[in-house]
Amino acid sequence: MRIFALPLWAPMLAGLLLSPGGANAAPPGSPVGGSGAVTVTPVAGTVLARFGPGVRASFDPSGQYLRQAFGLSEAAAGADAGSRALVFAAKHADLLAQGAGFMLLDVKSPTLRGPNGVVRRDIVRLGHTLRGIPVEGRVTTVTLNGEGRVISFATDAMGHGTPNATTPTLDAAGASRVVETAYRVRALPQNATLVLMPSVGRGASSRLAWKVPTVAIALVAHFWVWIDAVDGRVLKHGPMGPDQGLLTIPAHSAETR
Amino acid sequence: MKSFIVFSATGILVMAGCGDDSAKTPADVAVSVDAEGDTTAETDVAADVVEVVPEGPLARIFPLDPIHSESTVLVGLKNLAVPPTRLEGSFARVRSCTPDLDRGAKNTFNFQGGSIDTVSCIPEFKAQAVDGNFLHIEPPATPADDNGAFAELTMYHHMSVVHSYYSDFYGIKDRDHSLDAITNISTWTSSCDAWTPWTNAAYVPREGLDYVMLGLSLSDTLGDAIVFSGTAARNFAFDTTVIYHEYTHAILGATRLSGVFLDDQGFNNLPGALNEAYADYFSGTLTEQATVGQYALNDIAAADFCGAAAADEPLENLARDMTAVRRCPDDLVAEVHADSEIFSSALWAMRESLGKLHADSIAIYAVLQLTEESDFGVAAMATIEAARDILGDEKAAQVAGFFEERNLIACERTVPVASVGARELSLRHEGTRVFGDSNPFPGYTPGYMQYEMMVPEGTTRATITIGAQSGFGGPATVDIEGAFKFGGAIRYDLGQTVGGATHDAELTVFSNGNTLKMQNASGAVLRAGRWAMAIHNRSSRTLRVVSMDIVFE
Repeated sequence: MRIFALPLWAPMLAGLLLSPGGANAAPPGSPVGGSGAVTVTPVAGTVLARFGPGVRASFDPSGQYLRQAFGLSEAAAGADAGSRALVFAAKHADLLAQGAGFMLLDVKSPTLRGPNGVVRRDIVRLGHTLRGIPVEGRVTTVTLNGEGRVISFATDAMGHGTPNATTPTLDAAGASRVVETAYRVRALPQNATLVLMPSVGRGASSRLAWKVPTVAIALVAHFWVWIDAVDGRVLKHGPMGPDQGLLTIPAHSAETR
Repeated sequence: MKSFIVFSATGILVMAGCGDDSAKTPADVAVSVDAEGDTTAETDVAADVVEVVPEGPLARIFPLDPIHSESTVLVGLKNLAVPPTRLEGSFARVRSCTPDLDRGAKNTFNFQGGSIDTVSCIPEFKAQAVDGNFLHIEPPATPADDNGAFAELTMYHHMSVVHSYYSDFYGIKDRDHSLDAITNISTWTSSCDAWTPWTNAAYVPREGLDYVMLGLSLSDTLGDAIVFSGTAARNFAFDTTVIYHEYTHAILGATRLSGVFLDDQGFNNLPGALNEAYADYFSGTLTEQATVGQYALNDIAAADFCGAAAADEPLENLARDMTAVRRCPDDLVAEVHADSEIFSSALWAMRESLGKLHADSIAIYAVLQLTEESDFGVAAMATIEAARDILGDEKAAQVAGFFEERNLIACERTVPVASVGARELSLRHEGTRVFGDSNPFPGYTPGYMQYEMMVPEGTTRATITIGAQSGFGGPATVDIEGAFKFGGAIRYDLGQTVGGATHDAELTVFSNGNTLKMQNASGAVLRAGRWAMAIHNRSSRTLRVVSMDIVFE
């Protein structure tokens, strides 16, 4: 992770290139500028231009994608925190989600204790969507202060590409059968959900997939398996929750962590 | 006189006054109450306490665990259904699992070369009230006497405590419902014709429990669940720190900090390590214990299966001590619990510096802002900024120092070769089948971390010998390539298409054995200094690196 425009961390960042290929000089107000060593990527320049020189942000290691930003104070219209966050996210969708849409997941209003009493913050979690379909594993959080202004956000902004399809060729029952054949476990079609697996390459399309839950050993080993909803290929599998001892489905080889 | 209501791990409300030092109670959160009844938070309350007779159906439980608590204490069980008959209430529903070959769900578990038949246990309410109380239920004298009733009591009470911590004190209402908990889980396996506990406890999302077709008696689960097993000697449900750890996973949910994603250093599984770090931190802060799992995870039989030890060492100490000095990348092993210690130790240092009340607020503020794919750097920054928002720049700088000391802000995941095996843990490299067709790399899977070595002057060849395992500790099927780059971590370009990913290594060598030879094709001297090595697993099976030796020639 690389960071810029953060006074607190400036000494640590001396000489750190934000992006070797960055075209823009460090903007006015950037505390890490001036050495001649620091350049700002186009996306970093956009962040500064849009949110002002006081913003503190971090990017993915390539410098292409924004991961979080603090020090904002942006008003957003809406009747409540959730709707304000959606308005804010939609306005900045290019930075926050590579143009994807958003859906409200939840709103947290923790009772935080500071030296002067309770600090009120609303933290809104938004899932990313493409053409109305949830993008797997991509979330943005937007934090609002007591006056309802957006003060920070964090995001899984990596690229996701264009969906290869929005209508499945394979139905949930078919996807479950693929899981059962591939791993010799049972899978329930009624619990499968349609998602988009984001592209892993820079330009590859996102793939429409069935996210199928399965159980290798009841109460002990539970997994998600993602099946391509167009061609039925197994895209990936992984444990359903934390602390599970078995990290891979031991269908063809018995493995524990 | 100012008085205090102390929110303790025992869940006992005590009134604390000034002056008498005779009986202090560990307090997680203290709330001062003024004459008008308004409450404001205080920290580090050192005051005397007088036990108040608990309200609600009475029970006796261990405040911490059977070893580290001097005795059981009297508690009132909150929010139980009225009249109380079993441990089902507004915020928890607790059952223990009954081994029953006739009624249990049967499965056949297929793997290469054979299969194992399994039978699942059946969740049932064991603890039953007598005259409205549960005082007749005592800790089992031996593991053989453990019918689940005491585990249910312990579980119910501590779920009430931790629920109140999150919901009442911090306003996090996600679990304002009757969360299911199941203790004493064991599975019958045909390979040993016995009921076998699992050395584990876990949070399981709803989708993993809704398996009516498997014949499980779980069709009435209300949503997600936390589940507990243990060893033949120790029930993990008796360990308060484990209960709070799993409950915190349930608070964080299934769609936060669960991602494994690709970045320019390979696969990144640090979101999972963060999930574990926060589960440990909040468990520790609520119990005033810097070490999580002292009862459950220390002195346990090593990873046994069907009663047979799977390792030479008969005992293992796996409790996680947040005061231990850990640093990134030196202590990374790609196992999320082990890696979590690097981050949780920074959180604990923050707590020791700022006090639990402010540190807990900062940690809660930060973790709620994290996403699926947040890693150490993102979480560190969120924590520092949370400190700035709540406490100001000076404290933020102090907090930043804890993360800088552990190199958590901008850690490059290159583990020094000298550190491999230092923690007596293997370093995990996934096989190709885990990421399936979502893997953009042609024929191999990059690791969660790379390795780093210092090549001396005049070296023409470095021979790296890798000790590796796979499966149940057996010899590895090694089919790897080693990618080498001078000066810093190998960077991956994920490319435009699946299978089109590339990297910027200077040298790449293949091996079907345990050695990799790094040398120039011309035989020229290698540049002296820091080299990075990435292991690319070409096998479908997971490779676990347990040792690494290098000979420079």
